[in-house]
Amino acid sequence: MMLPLMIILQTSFTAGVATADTPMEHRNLWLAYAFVFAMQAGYALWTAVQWKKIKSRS
Amino acid sequence: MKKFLWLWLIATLTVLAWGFHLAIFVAPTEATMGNIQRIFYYHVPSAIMGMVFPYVNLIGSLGYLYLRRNNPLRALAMDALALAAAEVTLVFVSIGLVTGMLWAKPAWGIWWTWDERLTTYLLLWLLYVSYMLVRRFSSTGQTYTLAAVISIFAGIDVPIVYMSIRWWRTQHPSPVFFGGPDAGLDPSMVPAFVWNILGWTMWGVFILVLRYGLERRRQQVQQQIANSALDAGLEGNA
Repeated sequence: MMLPLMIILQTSFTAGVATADTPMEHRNLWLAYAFVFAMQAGYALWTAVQWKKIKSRS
Repeated sequence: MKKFLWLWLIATLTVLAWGFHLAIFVAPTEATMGNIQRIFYYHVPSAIMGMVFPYVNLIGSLGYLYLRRNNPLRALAMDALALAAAEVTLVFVSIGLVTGMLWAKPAWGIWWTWDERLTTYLLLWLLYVSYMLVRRFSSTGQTYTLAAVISIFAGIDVPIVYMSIRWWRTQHPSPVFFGGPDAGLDPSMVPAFVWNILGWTMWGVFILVLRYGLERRRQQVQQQIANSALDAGLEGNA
């Protein structure tokens, strides 16, 4: 579970820093979009890694 | 099946990319809220998926409860479906909550309020967190049954979440769809919404199938390990 969590935190942090000087309206918009894609990509990646692990065991 | 899944993934990513383009570059800026309204194109599809997949979870859980005594193998398949749907639900509900808060701060001036929609939605999230915790840490031998019962509670909460903005006066905006004569979306915003809801539905189905397949494989490996241990034990006794 650490991998997707790290991806989510890093993406959100990067998006937050990159948009720190912009008004809250824009910053929160980009943070929201970053969170959506990071969360979904993180979960998909975790599932793919688990597939690899289970294939190597069977 | 593998080829079909790859084609499905490519189609899904194409739809999502087009939906992103429409949401950011094509849909007009909303007059009152400004650009922050564009969160709507991701918040609402995620929230809807967060209320659809609990019913896949519920079907799997009820199937498990019904079959667990007379057909354990099929019950395991139903449980795998329930688990996959629970995880997908948790992802979508988490996104719904976080994007909602990110929208609320500039729109309302606060990150959170205990109104009926938000509270019942948070309860849904907590129920699925509990579901995952029970599956991860329970060692009673009744883990699958306990988890299935939690999913029944979640199934009861979903219609309350849906109806909360109709039953009560809430700070959450009134329903955009099926909300009466004043409800609705400006026609220029409809394509961005429709493509995104299509894309996230396709994504949800894709990830559900992938996760279900993974859980079934895990169950098979576990079964093989148990059989090997049993065989080794029998040989040792002989």
